[in-house]
Amino acid sequence: MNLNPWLLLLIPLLSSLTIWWLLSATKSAVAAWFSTVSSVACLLIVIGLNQAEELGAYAFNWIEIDNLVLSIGLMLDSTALKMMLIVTGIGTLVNLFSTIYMAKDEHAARYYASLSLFLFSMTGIVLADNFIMMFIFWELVGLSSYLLIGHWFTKDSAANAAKKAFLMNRIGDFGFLIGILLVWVMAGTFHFDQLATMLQDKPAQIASLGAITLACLFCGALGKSAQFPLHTWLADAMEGPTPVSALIHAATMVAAGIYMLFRFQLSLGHDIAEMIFHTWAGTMIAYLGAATAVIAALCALAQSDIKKILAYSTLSQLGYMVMAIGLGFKGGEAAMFHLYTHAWFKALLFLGAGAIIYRCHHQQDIWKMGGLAKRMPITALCFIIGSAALMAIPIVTSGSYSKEQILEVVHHENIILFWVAIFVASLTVFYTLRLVIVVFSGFSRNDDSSDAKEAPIAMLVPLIILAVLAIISGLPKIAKILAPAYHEHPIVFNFVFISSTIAILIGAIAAFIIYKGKQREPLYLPVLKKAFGFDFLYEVFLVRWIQRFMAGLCQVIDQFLISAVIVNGLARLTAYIGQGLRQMHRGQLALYHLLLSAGMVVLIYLFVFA
Amino acid sequence: MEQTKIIMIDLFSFVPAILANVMPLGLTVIFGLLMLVSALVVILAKNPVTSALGMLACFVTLAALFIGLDAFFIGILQILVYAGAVMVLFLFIIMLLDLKEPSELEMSTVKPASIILGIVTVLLLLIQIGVVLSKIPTTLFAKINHAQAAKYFDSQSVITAKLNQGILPDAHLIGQALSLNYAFALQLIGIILLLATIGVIVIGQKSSH
Amino acid sequence: MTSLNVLLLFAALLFCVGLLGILIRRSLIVILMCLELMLAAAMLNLVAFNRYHLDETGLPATSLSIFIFFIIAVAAAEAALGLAIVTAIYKQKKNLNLNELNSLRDC
Repeated sequence: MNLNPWLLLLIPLLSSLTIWWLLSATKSAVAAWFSTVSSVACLLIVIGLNQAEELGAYAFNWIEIDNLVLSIGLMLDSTALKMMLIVTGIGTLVNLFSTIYMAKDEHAARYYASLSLFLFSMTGIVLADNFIMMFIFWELVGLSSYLLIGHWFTKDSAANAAKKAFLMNRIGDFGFLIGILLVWVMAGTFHFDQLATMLQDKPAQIASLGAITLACLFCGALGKSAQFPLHTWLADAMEGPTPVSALIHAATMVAAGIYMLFRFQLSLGHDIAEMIFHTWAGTMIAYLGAATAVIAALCALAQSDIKKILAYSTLSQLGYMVMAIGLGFKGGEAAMFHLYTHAWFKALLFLGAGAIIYRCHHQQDIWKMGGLAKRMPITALCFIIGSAALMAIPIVTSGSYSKEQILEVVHHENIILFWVAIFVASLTVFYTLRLVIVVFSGFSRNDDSSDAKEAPIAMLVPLIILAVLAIISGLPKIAKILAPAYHEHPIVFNFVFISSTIAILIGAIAAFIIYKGKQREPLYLPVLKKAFGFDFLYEVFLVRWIQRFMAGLCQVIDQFLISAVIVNGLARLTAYIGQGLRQMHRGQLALYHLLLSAGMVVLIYLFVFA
Repeated sequence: MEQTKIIMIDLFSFVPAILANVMPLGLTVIFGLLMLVSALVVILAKNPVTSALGMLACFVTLAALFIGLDAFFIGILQILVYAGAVMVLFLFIIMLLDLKEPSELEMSTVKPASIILGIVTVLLLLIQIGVVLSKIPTTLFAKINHAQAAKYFDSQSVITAKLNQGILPDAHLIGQALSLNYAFALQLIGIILLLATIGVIVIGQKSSH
Repeated sequence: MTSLNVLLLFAALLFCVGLLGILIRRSLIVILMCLELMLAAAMLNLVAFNRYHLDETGLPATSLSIFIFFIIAVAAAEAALGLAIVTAIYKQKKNLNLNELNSLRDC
């Protein structure tokens, strides 16, 4: 079948525009089904492309200046296509889920339009064949995220969260752009498939610029994948609707940073990538990832909002991936594998949380839920499967396969980071089990959750599909077909495996002891609950001063420069000149005589002497 | 009246030799200096009557200069009209309006800046005139050849007779020209004087209320 | 002998004195008198040139003399009118100081 891959970009874009312009006045169901159908179409096209044997080149030149050629093109290698499976797969499931979740929302059409726009932008990032195109779609993804987080923008906290997300992304993107330009300086090209060839005979360039380029490119991942220190926006992004959190802040957008770095690694080729990533930049990336993982895990165990717990857990897992990718080519493969498995089970967890919230009358506090296992059995089962994958229960869940791979790589490269990773694994189990115990076991703690029913069928279908995937996607046979960048890796009962299993057990036992049968939060950890006060720090030491500076600048330019100097100044100058000229008309004859005589003298001078 | 005039002009026939050329330099300079001194009196005197009398002296010396330049008719006319009529008019108005010396109060409103500027302007003008004059070579007046000129006129006329006597018959020449060539202009001058008279009467009227 | 230059110089000086008077003095009557002085200077100039340039008969041209005659007449008429205006002003303002006569001002 000759399917045109451009359709992958066009369909979501057209769907977004159509919903925005034509369908915004209709009922939300029309827009919902339109969006779902378009994402299903994309999914089918992606499956078809994955089967196809031969794929042509798809690019056209956009800007050509001397030897600078910017093109818009699609790179359809296996990594990209399998990543597209994740994007369109989860996109379709989220669309399906939203048909119920957002059914009663008045502005649902805007939601679906933004969702389609997001799918369009994410497709652009995944399929981009050069850095500039990726950057353009990177920014578009930021925009879609802003629109989706701020969907209920009439609520102050939602509008602020959207703004915060966009601004932090933007800060990261500044460094990202510098990194892209440094790639140009280093290699002379923006295209991924030309990087290896251009850099073959430039060891000096690589040595001098490689590390700083990587560091700047990582800034993009800092912003987009919410690593420390730009991590505070992800927790606030939970103000958006839950399906949005599932799609964007679990599976796809935040994974874009990892994907970009992996793309970079792939295009450099094994040797050059090892050279560049084993510098101070790679080490910095790894340590930042580890730091994020630890901070997020610690914060997660003190939260009481179900979505915030999942958000911090996403941060922690992203930290794992970044830590892995900073350690070299092998780490990159492990990170991508973990991204793939994480996408499925995290989306499952978020959609499960969405179902729970929907049925508990939009109650999000876990201490006001309880005993939901009996009331919503299928949802509970799917959720528990997802949690198991998150906890990386060995062999049975997909999460364990990918996490093992990461731990292997980290153990091989850096022992300190290995023990940090083990600690975080233990914490992961602790907070996940806490969540499961408090929400599902025991008795209901609040009226909201006491009459919860099973979730509707349109919500259950995505949950079941994702639960199945959460179990099987790690298995070698399946992973070979579906996972981007998979390396056959048998489970070996070595030191790494044993230490991770022990960590899981410690975490599980601790969670059981502390949380089983409790009615209120037993631990009092305000520092962790406030996420180490990063928000406060940024507000007081950065934001306030920047705002004051901008206000001052605006004051200078607007009130002083434009108002006083230019506008008023011109007026006063005119009045002043007028006043000066008026002196000639004071009616004083003596003055007139003087002027006449002086004029005569001047004229005589001009005619006789000059 | 006419006879008186002709007699006056005839008195000058006693010095034909001198009058073939203009006044000697010494006389010109004396009269010129007197004229300038009188002019300075006009502008510097506090009392307007003093100014008027200074102007009178100025005009008289000016008339002397005119006569020294063989412009007899103009000279006499100057004294008659200016000294006789215009100055009288000035003095009359000064006396009528009872203008006195300007008091201390009035003098204090004078701004020194304007005076200095005025002096500067006039000085600049003087410098310019001086430069121009210094570039002109000294040009002397030509002698009037009366006998030669007599040939151009009708042999029967008074002008020829006077010219043969070596006198310049200024009045006759001007009269002839006025009557023959510039008669219309003469009428116009008369109308201008009439207009001036009407104007003076209209301006000088009491206001209608 | 008397040269043209001397007479032109005297005329110029008289003119400058008259101009100075107009610029310095504040009394309207004196300014009118200085105006007459300037006219007289011009007339002296013309008379000097009248004597300088002899026409084909060898005599000074009568047309210039008539011109000077007309100047005298017009100057006299203008002096009379000026004095009438001065009288009218004095009747209104009781004051002939130039600093006070500024009702034509632009405000």
